[in-house]
Amino acid sequence: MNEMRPDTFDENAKAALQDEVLRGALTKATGLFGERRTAAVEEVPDWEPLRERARQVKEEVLAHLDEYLPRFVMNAERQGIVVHWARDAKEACQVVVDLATARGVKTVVKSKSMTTEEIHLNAALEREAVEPVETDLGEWIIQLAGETPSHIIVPAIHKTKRQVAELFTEKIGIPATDDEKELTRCARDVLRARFAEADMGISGANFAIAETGSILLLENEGNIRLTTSLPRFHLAVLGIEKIIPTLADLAAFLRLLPRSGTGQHLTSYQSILSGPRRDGDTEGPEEVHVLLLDNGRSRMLRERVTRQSLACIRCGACLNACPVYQQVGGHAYGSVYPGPIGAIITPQLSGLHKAAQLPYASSLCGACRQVCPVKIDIPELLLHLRHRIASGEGLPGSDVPGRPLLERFGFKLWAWAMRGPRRYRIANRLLRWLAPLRVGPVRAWTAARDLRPPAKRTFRDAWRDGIEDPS
Amino acid sequence: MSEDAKREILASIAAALASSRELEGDPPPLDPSTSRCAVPTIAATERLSRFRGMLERVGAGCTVVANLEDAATAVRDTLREAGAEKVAVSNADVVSELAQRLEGVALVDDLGDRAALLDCPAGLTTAQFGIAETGTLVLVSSAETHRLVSLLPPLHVAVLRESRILGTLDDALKVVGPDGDATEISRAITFVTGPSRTADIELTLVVGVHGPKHLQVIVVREEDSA
Repeated sequence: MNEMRPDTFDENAKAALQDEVLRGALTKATGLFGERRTAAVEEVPDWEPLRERARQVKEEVLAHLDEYLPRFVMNAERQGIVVHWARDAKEACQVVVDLATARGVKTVVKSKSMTTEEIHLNAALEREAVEPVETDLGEWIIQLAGETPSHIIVPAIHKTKRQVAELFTEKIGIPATDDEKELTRCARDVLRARFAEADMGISGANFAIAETGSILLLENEGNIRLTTSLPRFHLAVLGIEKIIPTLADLAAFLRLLPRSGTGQHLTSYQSILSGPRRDGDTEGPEEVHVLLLDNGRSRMLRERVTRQSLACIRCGACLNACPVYQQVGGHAYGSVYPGPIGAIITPQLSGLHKAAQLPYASSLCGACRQVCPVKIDIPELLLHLRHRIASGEGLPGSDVPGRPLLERFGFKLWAWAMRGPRRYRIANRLLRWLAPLRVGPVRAWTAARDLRPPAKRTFRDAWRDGIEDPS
Repeated sequence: MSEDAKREILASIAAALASSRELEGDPPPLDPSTSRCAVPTIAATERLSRFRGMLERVGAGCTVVANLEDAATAVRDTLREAGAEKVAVSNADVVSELAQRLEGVALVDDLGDRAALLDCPAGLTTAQFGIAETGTLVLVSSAETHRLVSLLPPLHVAVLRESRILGTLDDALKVVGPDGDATEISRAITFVTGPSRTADIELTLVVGVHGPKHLQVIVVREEDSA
């Protein structure tokens, strides 16, 4: 598979549309999750107040992150957790690699973490001869295949059972089977051995609780519990936006997140972790560290409109609801964060100039806003980013992409034509003659849409001759 | 390096928020009236049936017994059905007492022996609390050594006193929190709702991917035993 980048969304999307297997899988997954979500949400009579509460809690934390983040750090350290900081992806990888090599770590078991995907941690570990083993079943499948996740919740959604079976036969030498139970059992056996030998576990975190210095992780498989309790050293990598004020605040998020993500009333496991084992304990990691990552997040705090992107709890509901995502899938976005949320986060994290197509990868239908459990106004942000691109203002700390030459020329022409009736008439005639030829920008427009033919007579001609009464 | 990074990130956050406050003002404070939205309390008399119903929904088994004697029978039956001739036991008093009544079953009680735990077909623990709203077990690590016993074997049998079944998630977060039973938050608090599950291959549900394939909860109604 070619590497896809966010600045080639148009081409990526076209390629994805040709992939029948992918589109079949996407239709099944997004449809199923959409239905399950609706059913799960209907069980909660006060869904709307719950969303509003969660939105307010997130906004409270983000607007006062200068208080909540140090509070989390202070309490985490009090529990014996060692806290590290990283300004960007490179620094974050260096911290992790240094921690691993200083302890002679050979094998790292990892649980699914978008933050470690964001910083490309696996590649950094491999360069230092530390082997990262993904342990979430879907993540492990795509790691074996050398691919990247296509869905936040179901990373290997683009793979059929047959493809997984062939992959397992090739990579771990199991006999051919098309039984998902058997495939899962084989994965369990292989990964159990990896868990048993690993010296370090790396996880993400869904929430970090300022009041107690704890982190919370949600999952279904149990691999996070293994990652955070078997190896002697546990490191959690999380963005600075993951903080919530108190343990009690978790209740709202625990009701919102699983229902929005998979349509479950609760995932199988939640782990609230607060530090290493104490004297006399016979289990739990001996060392627990937390790495706090900025990587472009702090500058998003500058305005309310951009700040709300940091409220995202990574449930994936907006992906399933999005008519664009439903057709093209996650890879087309060319970044770790796909779908509507990716279209707003990626340009802000990596710079507008690197992902200027993404804010346009939307019909602005608003389905994402409707399902978002923390009420992020994604269409507002898409428009905001489009405005920043079109006006040439860019974002704080991020370069501005130059507007396309043709677009600039077009607007110059328009400005010229609108300056007088004569000019307007000439431009009008020219356009009526040019448009059906479908050249230049017209061709781009008509590639996927019909161009309505111009009326036989212009309005101006009709006006001059006296408009006929159609009755 | 990390000290520089810490200073710079905190400065960047402070600068961004200062600019936001200057231009947009402070956001309205949290509205306290929204803090306990959504879930009504669940009356004590309804908790057991709700708990049991939710457990069944996630594919876990639930046996309600009158006393510890009957609990031992239920544990024995569960192990026999699963064909487990060995069981790993946590260090809880109730578990030790039950273990004495499990004739014919080998006990794995060295909780530091990881190889033995990895090899064991069943694990027996208690749960510190239950949550009726969601059918959830709450395992608190400061009360019992059960992180691995409840996770590594394919069968997890958990014994829970009926009086420990709380109403809602809010109630559970309150008792395990810093203002609850303990003076300090426990190292690991684990919420368990059913068996380990995945749907990563073609969205088909498979249980027992990394953790237990089966969860059997035994609720003991009698209060003053053990």
